Amino acid sequence: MQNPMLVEKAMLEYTELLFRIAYYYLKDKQLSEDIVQEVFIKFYCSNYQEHGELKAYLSKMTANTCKDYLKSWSYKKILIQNKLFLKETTIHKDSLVETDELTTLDSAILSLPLKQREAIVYYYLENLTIKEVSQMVNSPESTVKSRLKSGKELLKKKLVHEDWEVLLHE
Amino acid sequence: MSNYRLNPLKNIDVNRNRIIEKTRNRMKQMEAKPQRNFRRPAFITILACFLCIIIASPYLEHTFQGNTNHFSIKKVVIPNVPYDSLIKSFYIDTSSELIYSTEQGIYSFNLEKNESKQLIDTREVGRVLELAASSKWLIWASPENNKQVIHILNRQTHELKMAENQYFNGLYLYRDTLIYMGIDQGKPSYYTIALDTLKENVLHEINGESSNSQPSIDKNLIVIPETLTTNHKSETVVYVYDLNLHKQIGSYTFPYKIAENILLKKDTVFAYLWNGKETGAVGGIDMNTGKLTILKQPAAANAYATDGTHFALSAADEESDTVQLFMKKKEKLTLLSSFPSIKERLVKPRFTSEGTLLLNGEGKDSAMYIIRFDD
Repeated sequence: MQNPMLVEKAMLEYTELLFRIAYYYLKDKQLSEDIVQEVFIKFYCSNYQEHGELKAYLSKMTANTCKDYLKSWSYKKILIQNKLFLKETTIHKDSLVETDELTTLDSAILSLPLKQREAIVYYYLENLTIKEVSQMVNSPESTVKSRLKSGKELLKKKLVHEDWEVLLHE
Repeated sequence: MSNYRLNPLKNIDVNRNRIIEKTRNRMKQMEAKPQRNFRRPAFITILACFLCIIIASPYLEHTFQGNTNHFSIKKVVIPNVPYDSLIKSFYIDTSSELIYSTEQGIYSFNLEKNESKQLIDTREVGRVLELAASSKWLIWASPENNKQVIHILNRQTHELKMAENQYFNGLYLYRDTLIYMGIDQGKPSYYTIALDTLKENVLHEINGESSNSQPSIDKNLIVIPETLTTNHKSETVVYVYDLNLHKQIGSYTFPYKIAENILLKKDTVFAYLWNGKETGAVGGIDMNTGKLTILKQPAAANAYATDGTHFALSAADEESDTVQLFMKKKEKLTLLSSFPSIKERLVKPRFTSEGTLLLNGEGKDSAMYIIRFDD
């Protein structure tokens, strides 16, 4: 088990970042909170030894936990319920409510396919380098570059009548 | 860091504080967990074992021999494959191969040759999430033009076909027929595809609220679960279809709000049953009599798998859990083996349709264990 002081320090430092990462995958604040809690508890119970940057370690763990969740049967069940039984269900309401609040660019980013979305978000919104993104998503740098390119193409199509200056700089 | 933030993420102090507070509470609870006093139970256990040995010594040799001869364990290590790929792998008895997928592709690991072979390169689409295979077919779903497409590869002729339809999720194989869930104009149904002709038919229209389990196939039968609520009471109904006749042949009700991991084996529909608060239990409905039996089990189980006779339960092991093997005798599960030769934690038990048990180990080598039972 980790020293609670180390976990406390990590929480104060990285909760915001990990929450954002989780949200980019799950598009749901409540689920993202749960996932980040799980990540800190896993970290607390782990035998992690300082062999790299803690920030990268926790970020990757968050991304992997989110991906596992997206693949899980319970996620698909929620998806089915949300698609089919929207009137009857009240769970995960906040993501639905917030859809109205999203700007056009937000909606466009969040509607990208997962691979392109994570590349765009890490590179443009979190300002990670190509190398750091490739480590985060376990893919070669060339793959990340091609996902960034195809992600930008998709965004261009979605934002054909909008200003997308934020994505113009490399 | 970029100044741009998605709108919902501009003010997340509340979320941040809630995460920190809840995590602190959970850590405190974990620290405050009372230490068990092992001395008294340990003494009683040793005494009981000693008495058992004295009483049962004439029979011990026979019993142990029976147990060790009952099944064989094969350890398989596939180097350089991530654990999250292995945990989703499955075994095909007829071709002695493990099928798994990574970010790079779909692979077959042949147990006789001890080598991996890439069947499909999926680097363009990333890891495929849904996959089904037999020695004849390899089927996967992946996105094409923002739509999920079912890819069908005949492994014998190498012919690749694509089915563009209303696919939503799930791929289940029965001989030359594929079953999946599709949504057509907002209406979810289970469909069948004849893999040789790509002819599709609706098998079952979903009318319930949701389901806590995937369908299960045994021989020519498939069971499809749905949760239904009447008068504020939720139950799980399983519909049974004959895949040869393409016809519903019955339905059975589990009077439980939640029926997870439904498995059809030897004319019995098994499920992990609970109502959301209490500890759950494994039960089965005999399709010949319609009777539901809750199996008496020695320990709380977090996961289970069965071939109808043997049960692999993820049973509590001090503060964690590991898979142990049980045998169903009438309405009770009795311990057959706790796999003493395997030192690491075992997880994710699953049986093939031929009755082979597959387990994942959580050791450094991420080994997998294939357990075959004597006839």
